[in-house]
Amino acid sequence: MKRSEVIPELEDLLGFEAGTIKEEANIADVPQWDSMAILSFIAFVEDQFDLVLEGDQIAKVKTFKQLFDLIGDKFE
Amino acid sequence: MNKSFSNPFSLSGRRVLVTGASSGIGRGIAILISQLGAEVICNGRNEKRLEETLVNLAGTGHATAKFDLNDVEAIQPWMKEISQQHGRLWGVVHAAGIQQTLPAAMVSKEKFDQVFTTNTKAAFFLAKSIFSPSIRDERGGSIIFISSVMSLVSQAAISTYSLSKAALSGLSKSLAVEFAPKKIRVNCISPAYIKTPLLDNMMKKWSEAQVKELVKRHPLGIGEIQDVAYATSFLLSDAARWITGTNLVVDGGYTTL
Repeated sequence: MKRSEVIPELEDLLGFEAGTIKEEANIADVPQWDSMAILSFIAFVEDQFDLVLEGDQIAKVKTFKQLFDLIGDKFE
Repeated sequence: MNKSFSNPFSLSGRRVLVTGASSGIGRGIAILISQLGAEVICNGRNEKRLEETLVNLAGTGHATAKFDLNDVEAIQPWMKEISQQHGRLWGVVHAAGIQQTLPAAMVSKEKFDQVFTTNTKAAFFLAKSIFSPSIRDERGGSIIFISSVMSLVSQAAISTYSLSKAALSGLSKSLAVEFAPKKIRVNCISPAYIKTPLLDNMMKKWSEAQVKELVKRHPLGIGEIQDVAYATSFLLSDAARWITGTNLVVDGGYTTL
């Protein structure tokens, strides 16, 4: 999966309106991004990229850009 | 003084199949019941790790039996082979299990089946098979499903796990009645969180605050593998001969809060 495909795919999975997630946005500014969304994101990354993210890694990031950076070189 | 005493907690002369014996709770159970005299057939999918369990068992008569329990239709022929090779089975302990933390929206049929097949379907076919006249011990026996407190209480994002464990409770009750005429008892053990590699793996996905909170949820602290093994050995033994269809909660007080 390409980096550009992640946001629409996640929004679809989580039932968010298109445009809810923006790379540069602060995660804290998106109220829909709750603990269930975080768990879904972990499962999504494990399924799509065969990568297990850790809770502490996710707790440290501030923006979605930083969050997707955790996927690193696993993007297509 | 020469009073004879037969230890009701002894497992000597009992052959017991333990699934998930290559690690964690299953391995701990295999080790303890071997120390109490049982002959243990250790099942798992990884031969090397099963061998590591085997060398830690006390006494003799033990064996490894590599087999993938997801192939549920092959369970009975496989257990028949075990009984022909090693002798009849007194007990089976189903400790193999999959934990899945996944919001409902992320659960596909495939993910659902993964958990349900290993945790629940395999449990049924193990029990059905040990009841077969060519496999069961003619003295009776004991079937134990390692369930979870998540069969009684629950939390978000473990729906598949909770349902797979809760189903074991209904399963054990019906089988308890059906198998009672042959003196085969069927019970569940429901542990709360136990220090195992599985838990370590889960905790990797949690923050430090979440881990602290979890420890607080257990008045007696997080459990050890031995705590489940002690309960298992009791239910396997004649000391539990009048106990069937029950769910023994071993949780350090988790469900009392």
